[in-house]
Amino acid sequence: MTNILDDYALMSPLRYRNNWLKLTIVAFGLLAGVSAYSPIPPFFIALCMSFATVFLGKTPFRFYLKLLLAPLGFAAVGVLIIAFFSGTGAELYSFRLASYPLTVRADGLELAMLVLARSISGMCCLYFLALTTPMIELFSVLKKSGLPGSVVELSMLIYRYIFVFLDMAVQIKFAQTVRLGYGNFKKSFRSFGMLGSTLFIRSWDQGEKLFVSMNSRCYDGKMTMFETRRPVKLPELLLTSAYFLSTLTLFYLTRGVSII
Amino acid sequence: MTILETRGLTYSYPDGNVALKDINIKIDKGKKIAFVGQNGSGKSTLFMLLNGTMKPGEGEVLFHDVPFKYNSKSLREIRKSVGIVFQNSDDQLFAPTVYQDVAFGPANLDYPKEKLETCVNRALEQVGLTNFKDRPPHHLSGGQKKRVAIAGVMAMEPEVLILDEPLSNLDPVGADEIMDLLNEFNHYGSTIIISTHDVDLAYRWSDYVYLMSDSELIGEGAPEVLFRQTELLKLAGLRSPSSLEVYHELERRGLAKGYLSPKTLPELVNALRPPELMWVDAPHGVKEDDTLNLGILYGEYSPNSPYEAINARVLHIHPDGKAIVELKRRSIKAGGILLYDTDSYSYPEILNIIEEGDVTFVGAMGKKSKILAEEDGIFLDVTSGVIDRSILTALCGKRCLILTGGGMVEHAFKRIREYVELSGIELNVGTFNTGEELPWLEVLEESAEGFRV
Amino acid sequence: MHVMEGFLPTPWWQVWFAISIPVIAFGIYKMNKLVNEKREILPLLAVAGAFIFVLSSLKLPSVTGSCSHPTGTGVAAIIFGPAISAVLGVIVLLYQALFLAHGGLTTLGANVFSMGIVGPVVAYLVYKTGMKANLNFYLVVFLAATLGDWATYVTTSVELALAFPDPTGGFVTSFGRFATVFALTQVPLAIMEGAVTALLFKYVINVKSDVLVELKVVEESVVRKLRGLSS
Repeated sequence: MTNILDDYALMSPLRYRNNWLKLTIVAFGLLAGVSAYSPIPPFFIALCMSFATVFLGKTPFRFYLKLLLAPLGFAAVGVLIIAFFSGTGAELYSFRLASYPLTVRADGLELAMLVLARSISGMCCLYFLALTTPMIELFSVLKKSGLPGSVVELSMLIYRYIFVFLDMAVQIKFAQTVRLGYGNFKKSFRSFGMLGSTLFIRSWDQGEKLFVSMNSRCYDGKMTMFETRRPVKLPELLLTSAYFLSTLTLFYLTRGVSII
Repeated sequence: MTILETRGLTYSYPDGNVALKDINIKIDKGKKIAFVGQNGSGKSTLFMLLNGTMKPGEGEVLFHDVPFKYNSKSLREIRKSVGIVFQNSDDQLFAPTVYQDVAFGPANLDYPKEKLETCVNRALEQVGLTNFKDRPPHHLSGGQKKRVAIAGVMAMEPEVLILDEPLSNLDPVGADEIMDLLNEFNHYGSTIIISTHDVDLAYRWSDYVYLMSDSELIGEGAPEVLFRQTELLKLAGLRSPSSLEVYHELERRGLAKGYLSPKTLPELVNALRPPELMWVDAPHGVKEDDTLNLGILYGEYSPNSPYEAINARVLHIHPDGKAIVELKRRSIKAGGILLYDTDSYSYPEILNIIEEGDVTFVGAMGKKSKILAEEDGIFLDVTSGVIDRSILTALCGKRCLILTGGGMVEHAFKRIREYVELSGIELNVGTFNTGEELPWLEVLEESAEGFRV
Repeated sequence: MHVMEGFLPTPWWQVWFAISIPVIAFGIYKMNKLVNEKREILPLLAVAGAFIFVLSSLKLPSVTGSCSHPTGTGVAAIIFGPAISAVLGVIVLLYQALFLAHGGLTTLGANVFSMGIVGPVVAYLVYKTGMKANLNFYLVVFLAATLGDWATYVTTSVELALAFPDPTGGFVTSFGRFATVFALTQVPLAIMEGAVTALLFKYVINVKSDVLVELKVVEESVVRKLRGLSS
């Protein structure tokens, strides 16, 4: 549990590429995805992004597949509801569930496919960002895009202490588990409550120590940003442009196309 | 010159527990001070009072003879000059990357951009973590985190550096590296204050020791003096330093000489009493009080170096022709130690020295030198406690090469010279490429055989 | 409940950003004011944000064995109030999307609205009302957290229903559907989080209540009463 996506980003070779380029790619993918009228452009986007993440970003393939399945619960429920209930056209498939008719209609299914495609392409874009760009690179981006300094500073401190507390939580949980703290539901409930409260108290203590520590180094409201200039290279630019163009073309061509 | 002072310092926690009672200390500039005491004796609280984090209940703290004022401007001045490194590095490293954390102090001191970059890069280089600039702290080991914490404070160029239990959670190699670092800072003029419950560390490292127990100062003094007071140590709940304990046992058995306080292994070896009396065949006509030249002895009769020229004073002549003599020894060959400054590093040069100089023992001190040696495949016989081990090896007649850089060259040279003077043993020590004397190699060039007996 | 990335179509995902941003801006304004008054608040907010993130990455114990995570909105709202919870919420939600793949970037606006704004506001109101009515502290905490989570889930259903209205019944029918289906998991989940939050506060009151008193979450008198009861 302590291996969050950020750690993979720190190991990815794509972390050394220009951040603005990556953000543009992701933003383009997300926007094009949620604005698409047909499922084909999103699927194309999903494919391109996945390829980039796994082959260029060197994310382990199995791990990536597992990640794609992560939001499955929500996606499945949402898509099924849409599939079954949003149609007005021809009936494709229906059955009765406890005397309640459930029908899949053509346009309902189409909308469901579209939503599914958009979600998958959205996730792939998000994963591309999360797995190739470590958070430490994004802080200067946040600052540059106009977010107030106090919020960026807060984000940086939160980032750092997430890892300290994650370790604490894992240790406490382990200590509880080896003393059989999660044997049955009742025990798990109590152990979890203890875990949460201990974590809370220790977080508070850490906060006090953090304040002393910051003051001991003359804290005056300033934290430096760390940025390295990374010029965009020609092959990257060409590849990105090709990707944009093909997506837009596909977008235009499949405007009215329906899968069903 | 007193840099930090407290008078009648008393502090109690809000819940009434007394943390410190009437503490009076005077820290001298440029010294290495250790506060020794059990856990809970008040050391950490004292440190928080020394940098203005806490305000005393009674008494005052003075910096350069000026009492602390607790408004924000004065506190800033104090904290710039008196830096603290906390026991737990996670309490101190709070920025997303190493660079940002070290830059925190300078940034908040409003240094202009160039000065900030210079200070940060210099601090990172001093602790040997330049390549870790853009790593997040949770990807660092305990020793590396501690070094980043130290760099973060050093980047503010403080006059006094206080470290609360600096070696806790460090493995021996990491601990040695930190102590080397502190010694280097001290060499360049920083006053260093540490707290520890490790008596051996305080005994061999510090210039002055304060003993704390139960919120009070129960003793202070130079380590050689303070750590002999076993009753005081017992009161503080501490042991005697190991080398002193060994020395006392040797003394009791008549195997060590004098009222000494050996701190390091070479000093302990030096304190061992070599055989002073011997039976020899008395040539005809020798009387008591005559001096006999016994020639050159080796082996167990010359413990200080492979060969010794011995003169002996006759104490008693036995009827059957044997005499009891007291030995006066003069070593005629010992090994030597050559210091190589890695600031002007040249691999072929080093190889040449090792071959031509018949060097059999190579050591490296400091992160930079160790990395250079590793990269070029130079085999290192020792990487920690280098000076002591080299002295011990040289005592056995071997020749050593120490690779080190910067201020450490001078520091090592000084220490070895000091040992030579104190012990009276003729060890040859020289520095190679810092332009100082090279008696060793000059002799070598003249006649390779001249140095071999 | 996080709406996953890409689920909301244009123009809906923009709508929620448009609604949330002014609220967050207000939260930032309040936070800055607070930080300027009391410097030490910033590190506390930072560790609070980190705590909420870590808490939300743990798995709640469940009767059915299914996997679910607490939201942390109850804890945040009770301790810091709704305005600051919105700011912490944005940062935590961003990190949840980037580090744990919960939620998304286009849906950040919608998720902030449901989990960072509505949830904490409801929890806070329930908490304040309950304390004013002198009800038992733990009961109030439980209700605040549970109702806060229910409010979040209802809001998410609203967001989904607006984006995918029923062709005949419109928003209302669609909302009914989404709400009913998600109720299966969200309603018991909220109750579980409410219970866990109350338990968490119980342990904190017994061990280190001065924290809560200092932050003006509870009165000293209430603490003494609670301690007297449980000891």
